[in-house]
Amino acid sequence: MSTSAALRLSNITKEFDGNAAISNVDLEIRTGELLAIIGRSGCGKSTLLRVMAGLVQPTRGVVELNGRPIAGPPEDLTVVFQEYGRSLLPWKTVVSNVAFGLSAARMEKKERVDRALSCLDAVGLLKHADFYPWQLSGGMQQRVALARALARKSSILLLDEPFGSVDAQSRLELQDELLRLWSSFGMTAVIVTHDIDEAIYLADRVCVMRGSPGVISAQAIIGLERPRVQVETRGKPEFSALRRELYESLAG
Amino acid sequence: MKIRDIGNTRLTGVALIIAATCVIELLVYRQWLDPVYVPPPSTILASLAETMASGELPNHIGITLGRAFVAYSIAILIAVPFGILLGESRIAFNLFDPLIQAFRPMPSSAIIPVAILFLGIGDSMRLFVIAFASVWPVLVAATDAVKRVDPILVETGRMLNLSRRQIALRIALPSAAPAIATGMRIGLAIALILSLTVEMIVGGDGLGFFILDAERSFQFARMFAGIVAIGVIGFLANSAFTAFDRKVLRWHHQSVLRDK
Ligand SMILES: Nc1ncnc2c1ncn2[C@@H]1O[C@H](COP(=O)(O)OP(=O)(O)OP(=O)(O)O)[C@@H](O)[C@H]1O
Ligand SMILES: [Mg+2]
Repeated sequence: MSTSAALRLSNITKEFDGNAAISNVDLEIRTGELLAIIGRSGCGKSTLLRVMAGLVQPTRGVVELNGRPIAGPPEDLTVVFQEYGRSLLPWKTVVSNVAFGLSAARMEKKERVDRALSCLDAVGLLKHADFYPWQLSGGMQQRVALARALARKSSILLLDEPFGSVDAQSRLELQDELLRLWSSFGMTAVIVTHDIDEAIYLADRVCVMRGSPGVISAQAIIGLERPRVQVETRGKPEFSALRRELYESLAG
Repeated sequence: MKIRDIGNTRLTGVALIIAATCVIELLVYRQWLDPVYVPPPSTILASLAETMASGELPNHIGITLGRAFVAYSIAILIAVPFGILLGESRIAFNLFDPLIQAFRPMPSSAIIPVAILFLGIGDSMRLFVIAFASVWPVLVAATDAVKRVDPILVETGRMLNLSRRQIALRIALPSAAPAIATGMRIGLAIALILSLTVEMIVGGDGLGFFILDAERSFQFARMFAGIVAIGVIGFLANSAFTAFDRKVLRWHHQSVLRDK
């Protein structure tokens, strides 16, 4: 793992109409790192992610990507929104939606579609390529949004509760799929989740957000060895110890 | 088809029209309605057939529809892009909205004298009046629809590194299309109404002139034949628009159904 910072947030405050949603957040995400952010509903996780993505201008503070301040959404960064269903274009089929993620890339149409199809295959939706988003269940829509993000092959991936609506079984499979892609592409990833176990299982480091306005109140380094294996990793004593530690930071 | 299923089809509406026609025929036949002022439907239909066959009515209808169509096209070419601009740009909106709100409630027939003053009584005046009237519903619908585009979709576009222009064309425009189509449908009806109104006021030719001329020369069967023609045109125009709408905006109708 490299030690250079891919994303650096310095002293970030974001206010909406004078009310701070997050306050004085300092956070460094190293290149190649997989960081998880956990925290109660409304503590500012999505706001923090939008600031990182250059979608929301912070009221105070600076976001730097590879050492340079960002002014808007960078090219090499992709977000899977918490509102995944609303982020799909209802007039486009599933495969067109995924290919749409590559609109800004200089690529042949055929190449876009091929890549879209292979990413749909990765999330198990190849058979639904010609469906429209509104013909799919919530969990399937979430996987389309995920496929669109993967298709971009960005070096930075920001995921806002990306597995919230999928069933428990698919959730475990998608976690492993994410880990596989993350390690094979050497991506930097940030994942927001409500699920402490998911955070530990996936991440190199877990940050805990608390309060209103939200601040990062604690963090834990996850030293569990990789590759991680669902039942085995979760059964380790360190896993339970981390779960307890993070639970206490969230509650205490 | 079972008897009670008939209530679910368009046939019920057609049956109602036929029944009403028969009742009027009967009322006139029994002289409960004055046949001089209300010619029996059978006479009206005969007059309709005659003026259609002679080519007189089709000629006037063609003129009216042609006018409505040209002016309506102009209105759309102005209102859709301009409405999108107003929906997209806060500056443009703040600049033009007060002016639009001042013009919009003005009854379109009220601008006919002004239009005559500046443009005379030729075709350009007629087209101007019709376009002026049908521009508003389309403009307001387009502005509103673009303002209402889901901010998550716009964020998605920004995140996917689309330019402002691409977001307008590839995200805002398709999202707004169903609402714009509704405005266009209202605009179409207004264009037809205003074509007829202008023809009645200014005369010359067209279906509106045909109807008024028949009334003034006491040919009431002809007058009603013209009015029936308007009804048929309105019905057909709306059906054509609905068919187009269902085809092009299928995603919208289906996704709305799904949400219910
Ligand atoms: N666009 C906005 N306008 C006004 N207030 C906002 C906006 N976005 C977020 N907020 C406020 O900021 C705070 C944090 O919201 P945020 O969506 O970041 O929370 P979250 O941690 O992601 O919650 P959840 O887990 O429920 O998704 C909330 O109080 C919310 O009301
Ligand atoms: Mg959130």
